[in-house]
Amino acid sequence: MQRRHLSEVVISAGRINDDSDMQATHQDAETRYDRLRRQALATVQQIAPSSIHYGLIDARAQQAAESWRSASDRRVDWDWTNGFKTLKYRHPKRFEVAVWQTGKLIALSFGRPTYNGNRLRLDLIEARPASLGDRDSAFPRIVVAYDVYARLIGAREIRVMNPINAEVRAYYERLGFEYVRKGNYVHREIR
Amino acid sequence: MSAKVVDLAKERRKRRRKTGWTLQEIHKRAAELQARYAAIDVKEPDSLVSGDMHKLLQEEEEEDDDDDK
Repeated sequence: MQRRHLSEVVISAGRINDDSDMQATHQDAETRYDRLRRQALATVQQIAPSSIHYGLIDARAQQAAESWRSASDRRVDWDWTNGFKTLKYRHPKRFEVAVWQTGKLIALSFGRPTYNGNRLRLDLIEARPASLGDRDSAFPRIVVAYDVYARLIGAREIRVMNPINAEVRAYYERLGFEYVRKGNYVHREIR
Repeated sequence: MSAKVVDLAKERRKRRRKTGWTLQEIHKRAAELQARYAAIDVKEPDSLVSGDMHKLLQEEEEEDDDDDK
């Protein structure tokens, strides 16, 4: 049986002597974890309805998110092009996902494993503002993708950081997450 | 001498954590989780947002989770 575990994807921890070593290690991590990201997305795509498509946060997704800027009911002013570019470079072990419904972007999310890899944090999630049209629920689809990635890297817990308001927090709790006031996140174990 | 009582479910979980998940297991768990969510009758808030991109961008690289270090 084919098994995936963190031990298979641990980055070479050799001594870093200069920038070229640093870049090689970084690139190695990017390559290894990119495989796992794509594996996670391919897995959830197999069980998704035909109207739903999972992808990375690529130029097409970033362009689609640009249209969210004009929405009067948008809750945040995040820059999914330049801001995400920085996060992407800093975090080669990240998880990223764009969810499309019938060809229209409905949500973006970025997360990363914690230092020792025991937890996977969902650091950012933004769904398309309601004024731009009806959409299916995005969070359950995204969490299933995080669940797959968490198992691939050997994480034992998913944390969703900083729900924007009590309504969103209660929604997460309804889906089985537990709120932790200290730290302002919801979490659940991977079992 | 009394027999040692073992919590099987707990032992299985421990074993699972040591060995990781097969792709088949992961696929099965994902399908189960998706079905579980589909069965929950709850409307997603229009304002579905979590996190703080600006704060993340201010952080130093690898300054992840202090309690994990």
